[in-house]
Amino acid sequence: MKPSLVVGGALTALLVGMALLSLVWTPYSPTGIDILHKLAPPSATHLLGSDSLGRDVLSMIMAGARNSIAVSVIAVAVGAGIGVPLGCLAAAKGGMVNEVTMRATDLAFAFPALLTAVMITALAGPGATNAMIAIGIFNIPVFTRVARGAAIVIWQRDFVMAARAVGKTRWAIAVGDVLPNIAAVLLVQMTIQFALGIIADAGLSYVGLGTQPPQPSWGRMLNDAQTYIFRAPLLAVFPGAAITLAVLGLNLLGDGLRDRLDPRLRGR
Amino acid sequence: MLPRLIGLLLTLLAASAVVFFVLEVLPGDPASVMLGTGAQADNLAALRHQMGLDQPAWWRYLAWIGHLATGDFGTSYTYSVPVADLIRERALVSVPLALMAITLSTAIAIPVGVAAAAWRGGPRDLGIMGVTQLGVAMPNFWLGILLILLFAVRLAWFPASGFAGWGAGPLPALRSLLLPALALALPQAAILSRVTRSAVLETLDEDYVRTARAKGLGPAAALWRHAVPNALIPVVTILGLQFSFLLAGTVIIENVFTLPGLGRLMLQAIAQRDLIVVQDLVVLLAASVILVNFAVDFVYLALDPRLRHGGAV
Amino acid sequence: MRGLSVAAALFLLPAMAQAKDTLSVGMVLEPPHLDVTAGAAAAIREVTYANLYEGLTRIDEKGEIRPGLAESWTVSEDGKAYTFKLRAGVLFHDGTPFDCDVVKFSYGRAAAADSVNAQKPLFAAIAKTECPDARTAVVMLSQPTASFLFNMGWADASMISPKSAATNKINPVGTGPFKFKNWAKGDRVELVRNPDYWGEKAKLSAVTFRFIADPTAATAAMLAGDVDAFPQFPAPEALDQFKADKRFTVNVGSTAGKIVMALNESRKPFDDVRVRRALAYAIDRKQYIDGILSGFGQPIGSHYMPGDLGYVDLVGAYPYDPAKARALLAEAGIKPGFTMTITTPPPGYARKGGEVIAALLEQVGITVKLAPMEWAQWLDIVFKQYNYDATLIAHVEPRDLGIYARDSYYFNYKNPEYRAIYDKYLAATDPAAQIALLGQLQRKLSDDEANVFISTLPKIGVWNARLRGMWGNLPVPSNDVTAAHWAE
Repeated sequence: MKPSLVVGGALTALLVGMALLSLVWTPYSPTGIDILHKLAPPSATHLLGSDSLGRDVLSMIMAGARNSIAVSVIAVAVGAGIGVPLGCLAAAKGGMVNEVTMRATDLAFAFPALLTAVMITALAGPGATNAMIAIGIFNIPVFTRVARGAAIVIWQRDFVMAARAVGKTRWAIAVGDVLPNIAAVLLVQMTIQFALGIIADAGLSYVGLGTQPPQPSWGRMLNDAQTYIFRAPLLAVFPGAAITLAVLGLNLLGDGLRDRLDPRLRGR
Repeated sequence: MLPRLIGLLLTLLAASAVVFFVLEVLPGDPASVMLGTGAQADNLAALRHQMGLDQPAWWRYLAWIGHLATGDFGTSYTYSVPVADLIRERALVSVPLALMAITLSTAIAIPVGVAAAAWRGGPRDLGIMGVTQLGVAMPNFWLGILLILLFAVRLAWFPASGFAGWGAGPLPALRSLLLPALALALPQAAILSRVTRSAVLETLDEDYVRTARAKGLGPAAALWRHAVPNALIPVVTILGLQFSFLLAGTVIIENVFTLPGLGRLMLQAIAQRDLIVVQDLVVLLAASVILVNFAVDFVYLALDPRLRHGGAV
Repeated sequence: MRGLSVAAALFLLPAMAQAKDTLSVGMVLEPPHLDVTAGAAAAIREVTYANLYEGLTRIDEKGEIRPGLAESWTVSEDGKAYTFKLRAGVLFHDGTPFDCDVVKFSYGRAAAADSVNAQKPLFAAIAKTECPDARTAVVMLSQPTASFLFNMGWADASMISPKSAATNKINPVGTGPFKFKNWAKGDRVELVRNPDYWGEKAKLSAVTFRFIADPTAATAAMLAGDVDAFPQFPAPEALDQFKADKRFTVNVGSTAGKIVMALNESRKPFDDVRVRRALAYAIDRKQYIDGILSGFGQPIGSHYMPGDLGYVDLVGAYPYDPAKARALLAEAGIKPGFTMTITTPPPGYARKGGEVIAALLEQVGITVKLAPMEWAQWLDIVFKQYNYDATLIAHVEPRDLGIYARDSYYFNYKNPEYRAIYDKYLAATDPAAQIALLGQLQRKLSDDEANVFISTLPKIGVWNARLRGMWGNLPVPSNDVTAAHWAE
């Protein structure tokens, strides 16, 4: 097995495991304040120290993983859920449908993604739900393009031609033959968008527009930490390391999956 | 060319309509923001009239677009000055920042990528690939915070935040842009060097490079004379994407370093419901994305004469 | 030769450091424009009051009236005619001379029908202004107004040159010791010394007001020395590091601000006094003050400032007692897991404070959602539409018990008994009776726990320890830097 798949899989499993564990157990309540013991350095009682309100940083990072995953998974679901059918439709129908879909994705790509996500969340009201939607919207054209591109190739293949020759409907072919054959490409794209979603969510939370307190989020932890950067510099290190490791894991997993599932892309 | 230009204009028009009507339905009245808690009903009505907010939405949209077409960006609700002036002031921060970042990123990425390709499979290549993998995963704003931690807090070589302004000459201004530019550039450089490496590797496998090698050209010469120039097309594509990303995507870095750039202007304008500034900015940035992509197509032509004769990219 | 230049450098450097005569002042909010007679925003005053614009009288750091552009005045026996002796040789920054016609113009403009002056009612008492000669202004009032001289010291009563009145918003022209140089929107306003000032010239050659709303950025800018002073520092929770650092002075002054968790009493279950009391028992004011205000607030038990006329100490009415809170909630039929939304405007006492309140309410089985809002939205959704559960907010108007007697106000406290006491208070003329009624009002509010009363809002300033002449208190919104200078 490729090392990227192993390392990526392990990091991703760690991330997901930490998030799941946080549902039932964290060392302390991630929202529990303890003003008397604020800004404590890492120690046996607080493995990663405590923040400006005395909350346990490790517990916050664990709960933050959960919130970060929730935002990016739903954003991917929004993107794939709308984008893949659109892309498949464009590939299957061709003609005007294809043209309109492609121009619409062009329009979407003209909006700088992060800045527009910032605008949407700032205007519609900051919060996890709006962050999911804002990031999800920008996943739609990505999945539309990828699904369409992959599907068009499949539509040219002999077995599809054969299926059409025997009178199978377009709809049946799209669902029964094309979709299974582009699933691998989509899965790889999903891990990539998942990773990008984690970065985007952290960025939105950093400027105060993502997951709202009291729910912890990695981006907000970084913002808080910056206020205390002279007194407790480590506070700025742990959440950033968590984001980087999560994204690194997902990227490696994506690379590994691509190599494994799609031999033609190997070595790129 | 003409159909593309028309398409470009239609895209911009659609983008402007989307932005305008999205802003229209969201809560927050610019006039009441300006008058605050003590606002009296008659004051409010007078101000709304003065600002033209008592006109119907479609009329204001048409008026806005009409003025944009003649190059008039309108007047900021909040500051009562031309929006164009506001944007120009902020662009003097964001554009140099994006340019610095893209220059740094290119200057780092191309040599690194080419070197990794030349050392293909070796320990040095693996090392570079490992570091770039990490760089891709690192959010630029966290890198920014780490740079502040090291260079501003520990070493005190650079200011932790803020922009010195161009008034005191270029050096203080560039100094205050250096850390943010680095924070933006390094993750981009990681991506770009990976792209450069694989593009160079691909061209190294091409027949003409093999032929050149067979004719006795040294490996270094083959690399620099044949492989690298031909690998530039994907690199330029990514550069184009990165430039739009940098110009628009600096909003978070501007917050990390408290720079008065376009991203912060937008956040401020949203907070104050200075909607015309928000509209103008989004349309302007969308236009710049489209134009950069347009420009990238031209660069392709310059780089690859084959494309001039109807070839597809 | 080299030795000499090193010596010269060593000699010159400290000399240059001493010669610092510029000041960079941090502010949280940026003014929307710079015409102090045409807007309510405190930020306009914080840049321009006393620095750029001046009125006939002025208010000093202690809140006392001082002569401004009028060097002296006399009041007629019926209290209706004020005769001001105007200073000689005063010029506006654009060269226009200041005389009685300017007074007539300024007051007339503020009182006019189309006036956008935020304090228009202050000028309603003025019947007319007469000019017997250029250096004498006689202001006739329609009725005696005891606070008239104080009112004319407000920024809204500044003297405005007729020539520049229309353009003051972007290019302000006043008579003050500083004049306008430049405004980089969203970033800074720069003022420079007015060499032709009529009085003692400013010690600083230039003042820059920088707008930094983000607490993190404000902290960084102070620590890095990018900003010399932050008279209203936005990150009180981060003050410890300034207190510990000899380079900085931390000044704690008072404001009239009362931090409360306002409850929307037209919404269930906040109409139930048991629920409001439960919330009061559930909130540990000490933790809030230590965590959010670095210990610099005083707990309050009603909507009244300690030290104000007729103050009654009601802080002990609802001591921190989670068990009691849970019992009261159960009695009111509130089940554990009840969810409420707290709306938080931008300042740290609300944004960061919300996290503390949420954690404390979680202890009594209430799940809190925090909804951050920009001021624009807050004004619209909370203040205008009353569409909220609870909000953290500081009421900064002095002695504003009257807001609980209004027909319609955003927290919807409608209590006939309270209103009856308030009407009695308004009608009372005997000071002793007034004080007694003020006490009754505070007790009534505390008994009903109309809102959850939390803490006073301190005015926390942080500035460079070598900086002198900054105001410690803020009787009026201002950053008067006319006397600011650097110590040797």
